[in-house]
Amino acid sequence: VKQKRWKEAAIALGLAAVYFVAGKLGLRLAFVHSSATAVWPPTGIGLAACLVLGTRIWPGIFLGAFLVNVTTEGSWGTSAGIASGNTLESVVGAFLVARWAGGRKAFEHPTDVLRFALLAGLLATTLSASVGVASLCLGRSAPWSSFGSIWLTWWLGDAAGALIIAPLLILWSEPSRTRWTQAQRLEMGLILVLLFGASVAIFDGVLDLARLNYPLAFVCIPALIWAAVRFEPRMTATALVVLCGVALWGTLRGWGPFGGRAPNESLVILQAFMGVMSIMALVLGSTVHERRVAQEDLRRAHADLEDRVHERTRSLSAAVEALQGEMAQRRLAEEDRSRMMGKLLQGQKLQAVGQLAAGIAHEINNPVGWTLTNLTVVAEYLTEVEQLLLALEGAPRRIAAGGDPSRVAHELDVLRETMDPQRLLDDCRDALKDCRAGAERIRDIVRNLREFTHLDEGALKLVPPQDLLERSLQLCTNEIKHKATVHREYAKVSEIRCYPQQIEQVLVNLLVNAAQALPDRGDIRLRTTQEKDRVVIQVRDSGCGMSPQQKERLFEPFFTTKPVGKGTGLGLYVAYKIILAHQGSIEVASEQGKGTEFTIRLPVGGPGKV
Amino acid sequence: MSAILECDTDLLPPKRNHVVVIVDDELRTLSAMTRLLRHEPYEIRTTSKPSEAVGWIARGDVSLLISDHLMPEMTGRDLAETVKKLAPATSVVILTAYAERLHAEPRWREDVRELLQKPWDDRALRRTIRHLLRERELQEERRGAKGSG
Repeated sequence: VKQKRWKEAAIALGLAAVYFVAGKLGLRLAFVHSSATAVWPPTGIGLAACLVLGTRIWPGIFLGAFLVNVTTEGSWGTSAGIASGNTLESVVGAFLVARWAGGRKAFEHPTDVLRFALLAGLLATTLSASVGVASLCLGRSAPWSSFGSIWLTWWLGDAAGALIIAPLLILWSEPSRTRWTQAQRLEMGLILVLLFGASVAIFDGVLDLARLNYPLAFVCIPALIWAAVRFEPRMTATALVVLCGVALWGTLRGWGPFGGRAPNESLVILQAFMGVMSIMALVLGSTVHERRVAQEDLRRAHADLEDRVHERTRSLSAAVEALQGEMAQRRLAEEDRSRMMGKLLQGQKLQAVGQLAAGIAHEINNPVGWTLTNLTVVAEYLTEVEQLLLALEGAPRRIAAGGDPSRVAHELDVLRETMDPQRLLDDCRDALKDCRAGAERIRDIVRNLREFTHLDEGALKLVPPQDLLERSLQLCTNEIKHKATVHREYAKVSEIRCYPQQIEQVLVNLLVNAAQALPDRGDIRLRTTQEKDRVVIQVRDSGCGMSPQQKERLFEPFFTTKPVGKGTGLGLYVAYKIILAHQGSIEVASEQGKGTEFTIRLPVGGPGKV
Repeated sequence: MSAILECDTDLLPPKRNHVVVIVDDELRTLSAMTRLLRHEPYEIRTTSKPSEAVGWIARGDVSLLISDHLMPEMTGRDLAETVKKLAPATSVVILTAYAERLHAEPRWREDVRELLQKPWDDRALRRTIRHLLRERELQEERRGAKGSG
């Protein structure tokens, strides 16, 4: 804590020294009175010190101001009064600026610049002028009669100090945020040189121009604007100091636009010029600065936005990748599923084949039975015919051997009569016809079975729907015939393009189900009708029907109403899949105790590309 | 002529005239069996309708019924049950492609005297028919003997 105090004291002393030197320099610029100067730099220094270092630094200001005055005027009391005014001015000005004009950042916004000019430049400085001039008059250093003119000069000088020196110090007290390129430094140098050259040409007696007092002060404006537009406010403040220094120097010597008249007039005009230049340049500088900051913010916001867009894009593409991965997995799962489905279909088919094969094996037994018997009978017929032939053949020999011809003839007649060869041969032909029919029946059954087992090898064919129904009936005839009377209502319908074996599988399924739904005996009605470009196939039974709940789940895989081991629950699911693949529809209507009706609609043109 | 066929079986022919009814929904089966039994010493009547057979049996002159099992109108077993009520003395033989299925059914023997599998053996069929007809004659003789004695 002690160390900190010492440090503060050292800073205050340093400030006092700086203030003192500046004050001495300022006094050399005094016009009207030795204490009232055109530009009073210490005002700027004090204000800047209070804003940058804090108002606690005030003893340094007081000490500096006191020393300046006491060494100039000599009166302790007057000097103390003036020093009090100066200190008050700095502290109050700093307070007002900190409170309402953005403090040290006053030169970053045009409004703050204007407030700074009003509060610190015009308002707070009245304190110093009032207290200072009153002290002078009280100490008899100045007559009360000149209070007004001294006050004005004092006030304007302080105001100029606040407006020109304070910005420079405040702005340079903070490190610059921008780094200047070589070209920019060169440009800045060029501006300063130009400004210096122009102001020297206009204000100083180097050229005759200044001696003629032409009102050319405005010539300096472009360079000032240039600095304000192209660089930071601190550069503007620097250019301003250069301009004001040169203007002051020249004007004091009676040169330039403001010279050549009464010192008081020159001073006021110069001060007005400097104040206006200062406010203008600082406002412009702050405007440009603000815009630059806004631009920077915008650029950063844009970059930020771009970053966020990149980020989003990255996360989005990651999401897309994840989605693609998921889709690939789904596809694999789908392939798995369809492979499984293929196996299930195959399994279902095999099961159906197994069920039917058992029936079919029995079905074959019927034609086999009558065929074998007919063959036995035909063999017997042949034996009988052989007997007759032998008898006929032996007749001449018997007669030749001395047999009674009439007796032989009689015996032959009796034989022929009993045998009735004509009837025998006719029946033999009939028996063989039946044998052929039996063999054909067996052939058909076997062919149907084989076709049924080769579902996958089917090709799209044009088939009359009633043929499909008939072939299916034949396949499961032995499941049906002893239970159901089959009624056929076939309307004239178009042939349909389909995979016949698949549709037959569906129909066999429906037929077997229909037969199984019949409790004892019943009817199965098969109907075909045309509906524009669709053929409707209906299979209806008079069986037990089903509940709405059963109906709802009917086409689900593994749903079965049959006892365990009797059905896989896949039959109708597979049927559904097959009809779907044919771009057709399958519907069911059912009433418990009355029966069930399946309606299949198939497009005449077939399933298209499958 | 019958000598040729009689040597086919070691069983004696039945003593009196019998009527044997054959029922099957397959007409070709019926004609094949008619041919097979054409020289047998009993009358063969065939029909594809069980109801017609029931009509014949109801008249009481049928000694033996040979029936298919799975038929559109009624099953052989149902027919056998009817026969049992109408004419208890008439034996019923079921000749079916599904003999094993029927065999698995409970109490089939109550109504059915014999169960034969399609395709049938021609000799065995002839023997069975003769055997059952002889059996019936023996029962009648025993009853007659009892009645007279």
